[in-house]
Amino acid sequence: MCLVLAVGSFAFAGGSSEGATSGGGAVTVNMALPNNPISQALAKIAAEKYKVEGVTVNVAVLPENDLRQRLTTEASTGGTTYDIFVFGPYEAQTWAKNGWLSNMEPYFKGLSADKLAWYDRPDQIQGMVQSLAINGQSYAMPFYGESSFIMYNKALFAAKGLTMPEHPTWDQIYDLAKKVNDPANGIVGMTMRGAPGWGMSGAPFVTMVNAFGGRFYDMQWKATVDTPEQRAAWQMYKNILRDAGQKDILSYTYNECIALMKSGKCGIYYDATSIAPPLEAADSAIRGKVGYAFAPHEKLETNTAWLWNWAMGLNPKSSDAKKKAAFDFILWSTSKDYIKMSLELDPSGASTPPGSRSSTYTLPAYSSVPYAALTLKTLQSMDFTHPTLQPVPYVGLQYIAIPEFADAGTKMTQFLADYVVDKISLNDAIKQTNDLFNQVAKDGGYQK
Amino acid sequence: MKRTSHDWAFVLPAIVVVAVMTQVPFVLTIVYSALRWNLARPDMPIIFSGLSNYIYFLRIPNFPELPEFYTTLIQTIVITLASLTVCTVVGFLFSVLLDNKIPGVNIARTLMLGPFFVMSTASGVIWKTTIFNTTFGWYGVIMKALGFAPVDLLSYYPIPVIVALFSWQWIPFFVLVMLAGLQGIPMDLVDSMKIDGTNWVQSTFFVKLPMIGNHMRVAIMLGLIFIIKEFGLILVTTAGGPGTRSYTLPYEVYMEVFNASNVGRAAALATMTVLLTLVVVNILYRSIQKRSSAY
Repeated sequence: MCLVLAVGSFAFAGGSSEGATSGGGAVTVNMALPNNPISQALAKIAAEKYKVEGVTVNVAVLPENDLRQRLTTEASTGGTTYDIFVFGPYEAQTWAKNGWLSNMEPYFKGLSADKLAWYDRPDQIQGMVQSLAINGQSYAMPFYGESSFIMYNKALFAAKGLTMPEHPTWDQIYDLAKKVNDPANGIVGMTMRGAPGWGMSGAPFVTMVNAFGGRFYDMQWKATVDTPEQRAAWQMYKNILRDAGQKDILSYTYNECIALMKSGKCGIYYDATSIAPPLEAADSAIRGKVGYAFAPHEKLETNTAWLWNWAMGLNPKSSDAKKKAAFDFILWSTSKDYIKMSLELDPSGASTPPGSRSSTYTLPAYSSVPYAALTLKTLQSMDFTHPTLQPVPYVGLQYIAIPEFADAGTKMTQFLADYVVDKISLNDAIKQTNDLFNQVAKDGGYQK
Repeated sequence: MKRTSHDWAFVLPAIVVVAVMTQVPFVLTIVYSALRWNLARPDMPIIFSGLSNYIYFLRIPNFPELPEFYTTLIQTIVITLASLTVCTVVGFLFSVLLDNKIPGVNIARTLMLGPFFVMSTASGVIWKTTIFNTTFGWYGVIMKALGFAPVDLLSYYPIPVIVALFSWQWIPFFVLVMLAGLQGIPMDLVDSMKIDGTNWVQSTFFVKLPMIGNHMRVAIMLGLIFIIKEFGLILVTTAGGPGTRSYTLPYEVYMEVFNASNVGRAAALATMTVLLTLVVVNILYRSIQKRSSAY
């Protein structure tokens, strides 16, 4: 009851808060980031190197699912706990239209020519910038971007005499995973995210659906989950994890997958390109032994990876002073200087925000890392406006860019989890998901 | 002693605070439950929708197939009843064990109460990552050392795991309450049992257990209130999964408001949860005997 009351009350509260300023104009800026090595590096570097008189920046790091829920509630109820929102293109489009983000263009117009030149907006990867803009007006700046690809343990592959194709199909991946899988010696063939959540197991799974030629809605917003293409994707996801995957399937977020892969006990890992740096870090048992391949395809032969970025936007309910300070911090943390600072902290690139700027890939320290070339090629080739083989009324590669997808996508991954561990049959899982998506389309006014 | 108007003046501040803290949220939640209100869709205005949120959960469109609400309700009842049973039985046995004057009993009591003071979410994370993990956790390592293949308990047996963790957390509370009851039993009664030649089983289960009946009912009633609303431990261990296999009503309220952003439906579910809890607590409360036992 208190949860509901709290959320409901926040909706009637709001308005900008002047409370965090103290005497002398000191400003405190609060933000929360998703828990991963790149965010942890920002927290560390900001504490050491971001020194602006009168400004204190508090950086909290939260699990991704929790961050999304918390920030969505905050943005939708006009809360002022955080002055900088960190989110992705899924949220950006909706939040900007709802007035939950401040337009950043007026802030850019207020910058001096020198500062604008220093920030170098043209250097930012334009696909990422556009995913955070409406009608050319930016509502957030990309902190780091990612797509997805295959990472594999070259040593395990060599031991079994296997070769990874540069453009594998999902059938080939499954076959290779089974060949590498060696439970007697504690070797897992392939790891993927299994923990439910639209942004967790949903990410690799939806790209798998796209690769198999599936889609979630036709152009009339009629749910198209019960199709042979979708069924094939559901079966492939389950087969990989049950026949060659980690034992604790449903407990694995990307953090557990990274730990398993880094330990050297896993053959293949399909996940975000931003996960490659930790695998090449000094503490990784497979440093220098990781191979990379494009995201797998099937019927859909290209555009089968995902496109995501974690971006920073301004809370419109924060005070003007806080927004100004927050904007300055956003510029600092998404600048070329920050990229260099992160490389000084960790020359392996594990802490460097990828996929936000083209110049990152020309830096000597970064361009020599083994995953850089494939990451850039993948990022530049993805088109989130045309995600599927057949036409669809939505955009988004690993999600559907409608507000209801956060709940519907999470429920879908819960049905998927049930199916993977044999609690329900494929028919039941597909039917429940199809009914759910149809209900969502009707309730949301999409289906006429 | 005759009450005066001044007596009410002393009690009034506490009444106001309790009323504001408890009744205002309750009334507001009932109001929200009658609204169509989706935070993620500000383009759809907040409107009065009557009982439609309740009907959304309670309707059975494809009888005899039960919708998710009923499955979650059954799971809530199973988890709560199982946890209460384990806590009561094991709690009683531990309290009998600790009701002895032996060296080190105070240290034993302190250690026994330890789990109660660990935050449920923290303990959930520790159980999941350092104990139940089949690759790196104690369970996985021990099972492999014994030659067995560890099973992903959280995925395949989510409800027994949750019951075990709830019990681990709440047994100390039951021990506290029942130990207080046992220690309230007069020593002359204990001496007379020895003189009469009663054995341990007779004295424990036929004399002491009935005498602490009220203590047990109080522990069960309070345990019911705390366990039925527990969700943090579920969030960090099974996250309600696999699928919705370990959803409880409070967990579903949380998902409805923080995942689906649907305040109206979450409020309806929360209201039904409170009503259900109130009915059961009322039954238990009536069964607690107010008169003291005649020794």
